[in-house]
Amino acid sequence: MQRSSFILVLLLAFSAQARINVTSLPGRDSVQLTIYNSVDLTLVKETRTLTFKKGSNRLEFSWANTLIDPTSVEFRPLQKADQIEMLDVRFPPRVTNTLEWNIHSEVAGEVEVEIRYFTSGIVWAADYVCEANATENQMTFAGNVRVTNRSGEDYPEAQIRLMVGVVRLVERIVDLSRPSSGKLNLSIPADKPEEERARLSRQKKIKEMDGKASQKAKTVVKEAIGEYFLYTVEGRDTIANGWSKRLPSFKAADVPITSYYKYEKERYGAAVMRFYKFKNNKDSKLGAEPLPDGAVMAFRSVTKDNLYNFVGRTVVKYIPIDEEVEMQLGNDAEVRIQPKMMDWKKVDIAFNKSGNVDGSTTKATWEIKLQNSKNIPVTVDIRRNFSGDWDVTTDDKFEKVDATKIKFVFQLKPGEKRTLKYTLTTRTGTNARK
Amino acid sequence: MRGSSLIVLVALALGCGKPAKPEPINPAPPKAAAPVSTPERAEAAKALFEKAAAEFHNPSADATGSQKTQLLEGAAKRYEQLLQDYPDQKRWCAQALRSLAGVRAEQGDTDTALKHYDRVATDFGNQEFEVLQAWKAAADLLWDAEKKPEAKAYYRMIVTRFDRKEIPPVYKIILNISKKRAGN
Repeated sequence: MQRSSFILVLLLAFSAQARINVTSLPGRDSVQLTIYNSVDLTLVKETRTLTFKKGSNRLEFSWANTLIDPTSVEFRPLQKADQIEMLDVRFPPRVTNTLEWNIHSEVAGEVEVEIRYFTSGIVWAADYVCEANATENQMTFAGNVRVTNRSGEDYPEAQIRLMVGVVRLVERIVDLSRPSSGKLNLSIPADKPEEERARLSRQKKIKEMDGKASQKAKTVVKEAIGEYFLYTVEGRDTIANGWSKRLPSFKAADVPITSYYKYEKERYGAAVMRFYKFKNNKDSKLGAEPLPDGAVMAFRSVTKDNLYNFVGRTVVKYIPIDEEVEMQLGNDAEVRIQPKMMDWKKVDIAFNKSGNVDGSTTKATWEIKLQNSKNIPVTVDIRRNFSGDWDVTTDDKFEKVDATKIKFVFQLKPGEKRTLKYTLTTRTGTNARK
Repeated sequence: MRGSSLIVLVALALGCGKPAKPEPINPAPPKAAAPVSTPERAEAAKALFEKAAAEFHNPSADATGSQKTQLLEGAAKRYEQLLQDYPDQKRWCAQALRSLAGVRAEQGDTDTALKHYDRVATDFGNQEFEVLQAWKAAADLLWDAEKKPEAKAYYRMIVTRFDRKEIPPVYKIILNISKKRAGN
């Protein structure tokens, strides 16, 4: 995308030929981006110090080659507000996609002003790095956000705020009713009245939410605003157009985790799946905020000098505070679970008056071999699914999960091998008891 | 000679004698099919608009003399080309037409500028912000030229169409000044 021609100039004289007297303004004093991923909207607030002359002043704002919504642009003085009045907005014929504010000032001199508008094309994505210790009972958990700017405009030294949560509006039903319910391109106002209403409602709601958020700068602010959560990324960063930048969000050490392995043929096939489980709460050194959707890369320390092995990757969904998270990190060949049917027989065959079979009972004997080839103890969770009228007899402890599923949980020592045996009895036809 | 020729012609006209070889019918020139809007065409229209604005129209604001004349004409040529080649790209056409009006206004051709500003609303009425910009630019052009009654007509049109409950910030300012100038 072509670099933005976003300019802001003060025209010193109020005449159609005033461009001869154009003075370039100093750069932005500050810029704040609040990014609402769910609707591809970013609220941009920038402050600049302008030098006004007494009387009429013209201020030019161009949105050419950007995804700025020109209808959303607002100007307000942060000082001497009662002496500065916005009189008019013009669209000068000499240039394209530019508006010109006509501002009357009762004072001459410097005034700090805020310019606020919406743009699309700036998105963020969270990602996490989990570094488990050698025994896989604690981890260091770090969150990052990657901000990508394709808005056509550079934002140097910007304070970045990220809104987690979906901006839900009644008007979104309009989007859903359209054949392509994709994101609206806000670079040019929508053609249809209902789209226009939806666009305005979204912007209004975002402004309301923004008003409720604190304005603390240079600190990590994570605060709840109704059903949303606002993250303010520490410090300031330059987010140039066409680039993306990864910024640290948080890092928590000694987060307790439970490492375990699951086997369930119907869900994972023959593979044994490795999981890390943790809770997003204060006891787990987390819980200060909900965690947004994002990719997780997991590693495990394998030496005393912290050499890490890659464990796996996954994606986590939005994690509310106090919620338990189960991260599925792929299969692990060092933990093997192999079920084998050892015997099968049909007993108690029942016949009806005509001599036809109308009921039977089958008994299947299974052996499941478990092997932990790791140098740490592991927990394995084995799930077996049955149908019909069934019962299981075994010397091992199991738990009935629901009407069709049981689970065995075992702790395996490093290098341990063991065998689990059970007999499944299944009754059909008139033999069934339920 | 002349009589026999006439007889032959009449006979032929009545269908007598050897049937005439059918005359090839000259088909009417095929009507050009309306272009179908595609993402590629939208990109091409956007590129053409941006080229016209960035390389000709906007630089003309700071140019003088013959250079200014050339740049304005270069911009006009490309806006006209966009309108001709991409009639299916309503958004870019509306912007091109409004910008073409701006060029004509800069060239001092107010009548043509106003005609183009009017066409933005008649041809691209759904492009609401373009309509607002066109009417406001037309109104300001006339207001600055001390043609107040004509300007008021445009301000009134703005009030009639845009005076509603929920409008964007830029619309609000324009609505206020339009109400004031229209005498509402």
